[in-house]
Amino acid sequence: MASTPGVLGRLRLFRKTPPETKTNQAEDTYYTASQFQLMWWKFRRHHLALIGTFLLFIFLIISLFAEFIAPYDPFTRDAEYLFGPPQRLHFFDETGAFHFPPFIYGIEFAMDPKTFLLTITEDTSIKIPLEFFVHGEPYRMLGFIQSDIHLFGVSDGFVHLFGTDKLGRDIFSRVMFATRISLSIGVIGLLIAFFLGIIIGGISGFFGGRVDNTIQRFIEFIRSIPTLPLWMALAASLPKEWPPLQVYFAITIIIGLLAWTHLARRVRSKLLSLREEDYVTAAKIAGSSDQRVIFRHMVPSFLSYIIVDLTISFPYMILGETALSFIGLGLRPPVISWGVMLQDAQNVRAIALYPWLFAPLAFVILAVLAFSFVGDGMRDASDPYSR
Amino acid sequence: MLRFLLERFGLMILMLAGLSVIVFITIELPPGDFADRQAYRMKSTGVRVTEEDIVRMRQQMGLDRPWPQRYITWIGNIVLYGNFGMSMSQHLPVTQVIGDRIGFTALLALTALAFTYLLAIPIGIFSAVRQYSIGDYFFTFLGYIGMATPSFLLALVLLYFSVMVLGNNVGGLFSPQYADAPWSLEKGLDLMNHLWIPAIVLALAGTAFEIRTMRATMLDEKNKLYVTAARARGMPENKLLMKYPVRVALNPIASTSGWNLTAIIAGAPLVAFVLALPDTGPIYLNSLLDQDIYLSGAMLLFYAALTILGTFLSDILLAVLDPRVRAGGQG
Amino acid sequence: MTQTPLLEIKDLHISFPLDEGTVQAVAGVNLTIYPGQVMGVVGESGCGKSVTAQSLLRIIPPPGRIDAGQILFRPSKLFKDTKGDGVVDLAAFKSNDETLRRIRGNEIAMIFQEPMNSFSPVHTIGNQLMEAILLHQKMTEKEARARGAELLRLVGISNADARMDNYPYQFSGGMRQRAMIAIALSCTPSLLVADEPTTALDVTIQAQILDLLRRLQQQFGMAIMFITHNLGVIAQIADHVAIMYLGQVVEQGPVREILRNPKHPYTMDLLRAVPRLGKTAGKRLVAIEGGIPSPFNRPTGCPFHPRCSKVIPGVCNTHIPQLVQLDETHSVRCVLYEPKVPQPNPEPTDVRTAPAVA
Repeated sequence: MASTPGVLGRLRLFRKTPPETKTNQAEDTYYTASQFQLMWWKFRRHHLALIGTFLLFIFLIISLFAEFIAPYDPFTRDAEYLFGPPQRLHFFDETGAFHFPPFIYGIEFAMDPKTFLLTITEDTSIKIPLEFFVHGEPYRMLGFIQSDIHLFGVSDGFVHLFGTDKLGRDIFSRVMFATRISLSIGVIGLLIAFFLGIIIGGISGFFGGRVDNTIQRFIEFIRSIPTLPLWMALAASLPKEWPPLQVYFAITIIIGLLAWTHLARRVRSKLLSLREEDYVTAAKIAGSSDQRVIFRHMVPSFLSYIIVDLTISFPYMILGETALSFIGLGLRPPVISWGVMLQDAQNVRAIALYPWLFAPLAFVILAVLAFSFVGDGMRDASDPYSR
Repeated sequence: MLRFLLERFGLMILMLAGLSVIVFITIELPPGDFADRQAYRMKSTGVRVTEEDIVRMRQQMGLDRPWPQRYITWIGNIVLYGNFGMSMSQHLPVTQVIGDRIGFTALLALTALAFTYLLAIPIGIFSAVRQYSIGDYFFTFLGYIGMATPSFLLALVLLYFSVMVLGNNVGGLFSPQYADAPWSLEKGLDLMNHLWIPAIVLALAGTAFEIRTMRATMLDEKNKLYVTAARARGMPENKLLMKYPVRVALNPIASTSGWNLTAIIAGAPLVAFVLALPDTGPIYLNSLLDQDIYLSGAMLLFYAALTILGTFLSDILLAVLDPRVRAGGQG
Repeated sequence: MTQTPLLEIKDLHISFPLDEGTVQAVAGVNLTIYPGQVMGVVGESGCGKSVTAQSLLRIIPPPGRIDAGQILFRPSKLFKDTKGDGVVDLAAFKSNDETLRRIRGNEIAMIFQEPMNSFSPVHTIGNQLMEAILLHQKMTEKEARARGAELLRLVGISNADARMDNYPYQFSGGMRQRAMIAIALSCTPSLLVADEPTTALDVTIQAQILDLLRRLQQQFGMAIMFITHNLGVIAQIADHVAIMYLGQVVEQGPVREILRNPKHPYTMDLLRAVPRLGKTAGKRLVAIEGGIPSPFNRPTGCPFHPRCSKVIPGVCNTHIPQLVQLDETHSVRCVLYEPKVPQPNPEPTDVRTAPAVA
């Protein structure tokens, strides 16, 4: 329309189309945007969800590259530094001069003459600079990438950013590995819940009637069982002599087994309501096959809800695993998860004397928050046409 | 209404029966039984145990019969005589082991439930009325934290806070001087003084959830036509809010109270373990680890029964609150 | 007319600031209602008729706000002391003002389009009816209950005493609308605002409700502002009619006059779109070309010009038509009737750069 139209054309323009202005163009973009675009626009407005996404991204990086990010193997012991507090990174020395990379001070041991307790203090006379991409303990990342380069480390001795546990193992390194395990439990548990939910909910919603009724009563029944005590009972029934890896899978299944009910309900109610939707009827009348109706028309319209539900139930998986492992019924060493690490921090003494043992909890809370934020943002965005 | 109640009651009994089967299967799952463990324990202390001894132990305890038979005996004794069997690790009837502790667990659960609603309802109303205010953001943030913090951590933090700042020892449910004392007013007060930490801990997640429910329903209802209609007939704003959106928002709150109780009960053993409460939590944990099946079975059944009872009560509450639900029961 | 108006809306502007832009829902409405008059307000959906009605009671849903204009109302019972002549400007109140609250339901009552949603589902009909009575009248609960049952009988609900204890789900749509009318009449208001009260009902029920309203109007003598998109309904109930398009009253006058002798092209189009017994048989009904323009983007000049069959290029898209008084009661807002017709703009402004009408 940039070229000058003739008089006739101009008259036509007045008759048919409302004048175009900037807002009109913005609005056109709005009405022609794809569903995904609309969701993204809405999601973007949810600031917490963006923060959550960023956190999840970091968790993903940690899970994938734990060996590289962790300076040490989770079982390496620094025998001189038991229950050692976190070492602070210093950017400025006592003269106020700026250092990069930052450095840590050496450590000094002193025996309290009265209580005979060993106290650990910083020895400011020794400065140990932090180094990046250092050669350290060799590893095979995810089982196949062989290397010995770590993100950071020190050339002499150890650096413990989160301190050490009772055996002198580096908590920072252990948390990195635990992140991988804990999140993987959540993911596998979710997959189990996802398949059970889709299948059982699908059957319920697709057949309806008596089948639906029976399944719904069953779901109500399952939901009335208090989860944690049942998890505990199931977890306690795992044989003591099972290898840790087998226990890991068993725990994952236990946690996944009880989480599908919510999803099944969602799938069912969506299926039931979708059957009545005009566009589904329209597709049927137009001669689409059942398969096409289900996969082309029905699934996309509730997939977003399912993804949201999965995201929102992720925290429950993490919290469930953490709780089970915390009381010693869940994962067992040498498998390390956040909950396993927290077994060392079961009492008030730990919180009073060695608060750094709670470092994994910060990760638990951040992970749960991140998933909740993202879940909320996605829930708002999943209905892109509501304003 | 009566028919609705009967229906729900029947359903409750049915669910209890179903649950008892699940409970029994669950506690029977572990390979090896109590006799094996007992033998193992005796061996480790240097006692000679033969295969025959184990078989005899098994016979004595009735562990050699097939499980459906044992289930029938078990549930029959419970229903007919209130006999939950013997705790095999403590050589006492189960009822005696957990008897007085059950009261504490129930008291704790109810206190936590009360906390949940006393906090969630006013805060939810506030957040909805002052949507996007600083207070609303604050409570939303608190809600997220409440959801994300594992209960046992919060228990530890409160314990630490209480020991370090308030200077009193709040582990357990009684101060040492009252633990074995007979009941008195002072003992009751002492109990209250100890109860608030576990109650708050257990209430937190539910409170966070209910605040969100209350807020969302309120926001939804606030703009409904019937509220506008009441405003249009001259209802003052505050009265309007309390009579309509708040009242209607109570329905979902009531209907979730059963699940809330379930969640509280579910969290109770863990928190009891961390806080060393003399209730059922630590016993449950130990009975699971010991495979003391009659004890752990009775406990799991108790937890489950409490939640089913809670669901039943919340159904009744909902029926009282919502005429449509009452009518649904009749038709 | 020498009578004093009951309600005078003067140059009312209402807008809704949304994320996507500001919607000008009402853009300069002028409307006068006299005591005992039934004023029909007609327009397509989105023309601002409901928002105008809501503005009388100041119950415009957020984020809507009154930008300019006056809503002058003369209460009949209360506030004889107010500013000498007893006129209040409803537009000037804060939405939580106490005086305003005492006008709501008492002086001006309203019935809504959706009888299904206009009752709280968890309170009885009687409860909500008695609430309306007790809010504005000094009565005991017992008296209020008796009065409520009497009102229910009045609107044609049988077994009224027992019905007081029913919940809304036990009422049919028509009965709920009757109950709504009972609530509206409970304080004998001088103005009843009926916002599409029959739209959500079956046709037979519609007729019953209209009959009821007409009967009650004669009995109580109140004025009614009756909002609808249905000209047939207007012909049945109204004395006067105002035709609205995109937030403005484009034509206004006695109902017979407007139906027989429409002046505005939009009114003519509307009438041509109504099927009439005998007259339109065998002929095609004429639909109005195009749709209502996007609410974010009002046309320049006369808002109707993109769809108008009598559009004068160069005039209608630049010139905002003035209200022309054709006779004592009949007025129209169209350039065709302006005494001094503006000259067509020789080089019409490119509409894309033309300033938007605020």
